Amino acid sequence: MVAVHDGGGSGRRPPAPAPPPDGPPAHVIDVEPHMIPELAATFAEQAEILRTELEKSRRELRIHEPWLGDPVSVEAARRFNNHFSDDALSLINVLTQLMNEYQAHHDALMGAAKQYNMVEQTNAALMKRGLLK
Amino acid sequence: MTRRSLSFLATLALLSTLTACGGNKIDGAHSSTAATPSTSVAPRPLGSRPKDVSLKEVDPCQVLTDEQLQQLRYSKTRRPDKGNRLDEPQCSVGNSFGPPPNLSSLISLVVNEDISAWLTPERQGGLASSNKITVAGFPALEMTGKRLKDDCQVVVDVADGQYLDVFSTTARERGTSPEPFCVEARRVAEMAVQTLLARS
Repeated sequence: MVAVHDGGGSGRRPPAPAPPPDGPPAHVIDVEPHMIPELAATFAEQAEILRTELEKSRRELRIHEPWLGDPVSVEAARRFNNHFSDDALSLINVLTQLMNEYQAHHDALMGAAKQYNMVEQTNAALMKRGLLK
Repeated sequence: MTRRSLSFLATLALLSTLTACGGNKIDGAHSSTAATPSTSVAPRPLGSRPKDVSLKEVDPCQVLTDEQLQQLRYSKTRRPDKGNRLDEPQCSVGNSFGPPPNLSSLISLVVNEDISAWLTPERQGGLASSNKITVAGFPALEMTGKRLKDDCQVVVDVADGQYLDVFSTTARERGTSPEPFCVEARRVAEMAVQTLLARS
């Protein structure tokens, strides 16, 4: 969910409109129709880059080279692993969420491309970046 | 004078001992190299292979054909990369934007480490499970990690000092169990070995 703040304190700005009862949309981006193909391709490309990085990080994580074994190293290893994979805000979780956001943007733009009869151009933009169906 | 000549003699004696030691060391080195071939004849840790398939100079992005990608319901996008640890060529393929299941696989061709490296206590210590399996007749290991539950790795013993590595995981939301990813890694590894055999 994206929350927009006005910086606060001025008192001049009107209060933000109340969210609709079924909750606000997760993301709203204003897009001119001609931007759809390139934007969809950009989000798809970024999602694919993140996907590859996630796969690589997960695979490298398999190898636990022995730490020194003293209490300080054990604690350092525990913290490192938490930051990498265990915590809600771990690297794996945060990168996965970001990848999912890019994927959702791509999907929404593909939906818009259908509405505007721009599927062909969007597919061409994807192909131009080496993203083949 | 006598002291000097004594010390000279002592130095001479010491020098000759050192030379003798050096000579012995070289002899030892010779005997150990002579013993090396017998170790390579020893049985493989995971069982014997139907044949040797070299991965040297093979492009990991070509070990799955377009038809195989279609069978896996993967897109034809192949993302080449390189491993950080062994500098091995890699290729990432998957289904990020099609209908679910959204899975992806990272294929790595390792030519400078033997599969037995995965059987050492250090490596096994980081794993939740490690099962001996066969992939298209080749001995292989299926491994899941201790920390992340939504991925699975299959390594296939294709030649001495070389192995095919397929690492399957989610291309979308996090999963809860390694099982679907192990099924996928086995399937991808099987297809990759078939392609490699067809080409060799």
